[in-house]
Amino acid sequence: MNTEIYHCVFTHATDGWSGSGGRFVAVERNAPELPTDAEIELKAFLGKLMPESAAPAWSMRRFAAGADRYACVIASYNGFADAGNRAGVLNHARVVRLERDSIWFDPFPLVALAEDFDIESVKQLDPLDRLQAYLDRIAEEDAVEVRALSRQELITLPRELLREVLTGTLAARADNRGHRRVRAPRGRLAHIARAWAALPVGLQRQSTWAYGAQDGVPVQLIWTGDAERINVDSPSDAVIDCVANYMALLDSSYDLRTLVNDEEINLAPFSSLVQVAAATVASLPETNAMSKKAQKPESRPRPTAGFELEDDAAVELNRQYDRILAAVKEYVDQRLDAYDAGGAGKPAVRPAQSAAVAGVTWKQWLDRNAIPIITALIAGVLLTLGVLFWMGRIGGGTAVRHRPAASVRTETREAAVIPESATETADERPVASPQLRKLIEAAARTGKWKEAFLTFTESEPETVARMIDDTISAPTADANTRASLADLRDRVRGSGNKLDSSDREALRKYLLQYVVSREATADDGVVVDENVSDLTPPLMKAIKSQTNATSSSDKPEDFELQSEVILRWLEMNPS
Amino acid sequence: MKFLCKECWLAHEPSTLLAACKECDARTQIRRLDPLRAKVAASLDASGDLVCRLHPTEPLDVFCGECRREVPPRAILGEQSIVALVGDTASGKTSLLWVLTERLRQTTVAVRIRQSIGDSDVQLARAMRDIVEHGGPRPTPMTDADVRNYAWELMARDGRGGWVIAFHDAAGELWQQLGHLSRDEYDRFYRYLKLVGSIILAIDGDRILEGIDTRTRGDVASPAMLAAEANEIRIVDELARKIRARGQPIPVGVTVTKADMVWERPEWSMFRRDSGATADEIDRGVRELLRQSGRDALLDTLTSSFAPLQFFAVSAFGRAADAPLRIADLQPSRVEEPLLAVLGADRVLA
Repeated sequence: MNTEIYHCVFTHATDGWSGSGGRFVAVERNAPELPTDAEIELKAFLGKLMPESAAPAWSMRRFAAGADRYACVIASYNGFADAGNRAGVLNHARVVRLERDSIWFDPFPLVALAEDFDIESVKQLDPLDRLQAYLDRIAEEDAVEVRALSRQELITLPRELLREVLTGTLAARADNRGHRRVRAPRGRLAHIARAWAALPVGLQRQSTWAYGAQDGVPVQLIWTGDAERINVDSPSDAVIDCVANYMALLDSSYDLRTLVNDEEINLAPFSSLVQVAAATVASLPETNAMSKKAQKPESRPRPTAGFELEDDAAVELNRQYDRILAAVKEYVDQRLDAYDAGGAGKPAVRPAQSAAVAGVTWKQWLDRNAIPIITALIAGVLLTLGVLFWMGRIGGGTAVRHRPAASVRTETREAAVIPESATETADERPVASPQLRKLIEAAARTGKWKEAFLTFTESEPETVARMIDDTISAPTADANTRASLADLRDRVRGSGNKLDSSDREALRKYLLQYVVSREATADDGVVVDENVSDLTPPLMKAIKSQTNATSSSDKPEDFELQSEVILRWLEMNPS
Repeated sequence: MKFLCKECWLAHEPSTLLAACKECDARTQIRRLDPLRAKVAASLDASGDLVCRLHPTEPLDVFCGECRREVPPRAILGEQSIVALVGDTASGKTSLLWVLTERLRQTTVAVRIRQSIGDSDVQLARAMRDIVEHGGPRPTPMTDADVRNYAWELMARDGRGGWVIAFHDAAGELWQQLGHLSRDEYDRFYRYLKLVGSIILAIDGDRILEGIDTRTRGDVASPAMLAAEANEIRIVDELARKIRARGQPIPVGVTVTKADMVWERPEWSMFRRDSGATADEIDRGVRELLRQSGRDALLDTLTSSFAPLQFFAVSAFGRAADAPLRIADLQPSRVEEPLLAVLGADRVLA
């Protein structure tokens, strides 16, 4: 679909009238519709971009403004002298608005349009005429094709280019210094942009990049041709693994729509999700339809009539039943409360349906019909489970294991990595590691939860480090917190049992906060939402009682309880 | 005692610094940064160095609590240490800064650079390579104060004093828009401004000369000249507002750059390097120069806004910056005088 291009041009070029220095010039289809904040940000960006050599510099960025989503490619050309005869630049942003269905978009046409612009013919003109000539040329650029990125197009990219771009981008995102300079990959700029666009939208937005630009431009990554100035440290193994897993996912038939369209996702959850999904892909040969090594799916034995549910499925069924029952009861209670409240103070407002059953009160109607409603819902669930079982999804080991949502956000993320063939009702829990289970069993016998917690941090440092990573990437964490968390994480990863007592103390508090934040509702931050939580009531009670203990209580018995909370939560949420 | 992190533009108290002891790191096999207060010996050792509490013979490495980059232990801020090199676009700020640091390495100046702090020299050389390779100055991009941050430790040749100086080389456009810059987009620049303890205001000598000629001939002023004059007034007004808000005097050196354009005329030959003119004579001469070029409004604004205030005329290249610009041809003139004056070094050395 063709989309209108907006332009924003910043230049030092003299027009024979203005003084020296940079300024913004009015162009046709200026970018005036951007909200003020976005316009300030874009204009500040344009003023900061300058080529590192005689060749043009480029930058690609995405931004949001209210409900609208934008992407832009910026070109920075030398050869536009200012009134003081200084060698200035012309920076030109081509901005497009992205439709809802194409926020994971293919930047190739937009970037190719910019890349193919014949700047040399403009530079051959008299310096006084160059700016006007440039503006005349771009006046002809009124629209460009903007469409959702297709995975087929990604497959056509050279693998090495894709790997290099993804690795460079994610490594820059993980870099504590804020930005990296990396040797530019060989290839068309439009291909580099397309490779970058393979990342989820949220990560694209957090990893603006520039190509051939001087330092000072506010991007996370500068692809550079200046070999003297590249960062020599290589990307971490975690980044390399993450890229390998993600490329495998892109090549598979996994449904990545929710993941790639996620506008909030950070590096840590992305990395975790990709790792889990890649493991699932590896265990599901039949989903690798696009892989060259795809194998024919094994035939699965179909259940016969009168089948028996396996233990896990039976437990799941019971759980679903309890939930439905609780939900219906809650609904009835709410309606009754509303009805009673209406009757007490003012004339009762009856549901519209009640007119159809004249003479029967709402309460009476519910009393008569509650059991059929519940029965119908249970029958629906049974039917669904039965169909799934028949399809070999439950108990067959093919469904992706994912926990039911402790919050809506978590559910959205995890749904992103479900294969197209799996369904939402395939709701088995992931299994905690054997070490963790042993620790919990032992602690439950002896009551020494603190000791078990410390043993856990030593035996599963990577799990702890991932939790810290997740906390670091939280938007609410300030720079100081992030820095100390990163320090703590590095020590957890690197030092094993060398954490001192204050480190262990800090770790326990952070992890407790992590658990609380995962189980809390978004608004109040401390109250556990029992409607969506998987935790047992005693554990929820413990979390509630310990929420404030992270800052106020240092009693030994609280240490034990907090350690238990963390371990038990981890047992239920091992993913 | 405050330590400067020139990357973040933070003046650190010891309580906001981090420290590492190599001995501790080696013994524990853990590389970690701890709060300086928890790490440092209660009393400094005889040399004044920060040493480890556990290993008193081991000096501590000190780090910024914000960016975690190393902070040289000698980067101790004085009242005038952070210098704002202010001016309109194309007024010659970057060239002045580069040549100034070169002059401060020569034996003919009473103050010399003892050491460069961080990557200052590397960054400045890179900026100047752009100028030389392109055959003439380039505009400075309007970046935040996260690049082109320079700091040096200076000392008097006769040992009578030492100073730390730090600059951010900001684009003229930023100084023009000082009143309207986004705090989000220019966070570090605002931090830098808060630390500024002295100001060097660069005024383009070329435009001054143009003003004199225009008045002499009764011509119409060029748009570029009018814009320069308006921008300078705007910059001075905004700076004055910020300085007044602080409630403490900040020394200002008003510096006419590209003085080589002016000194070719006999009446202004006093600005030459070898003229023998005293600081007072130069000060009076520059004030007169500004009046003759029609910058009365600027002069009045400056004298009513800042004190102490002194005027200078300098030339970074000693010649027009036409291509090809070769380092061997440069003959800088009086470029160190404004800096030494605003630091108070000239009084110490007198």
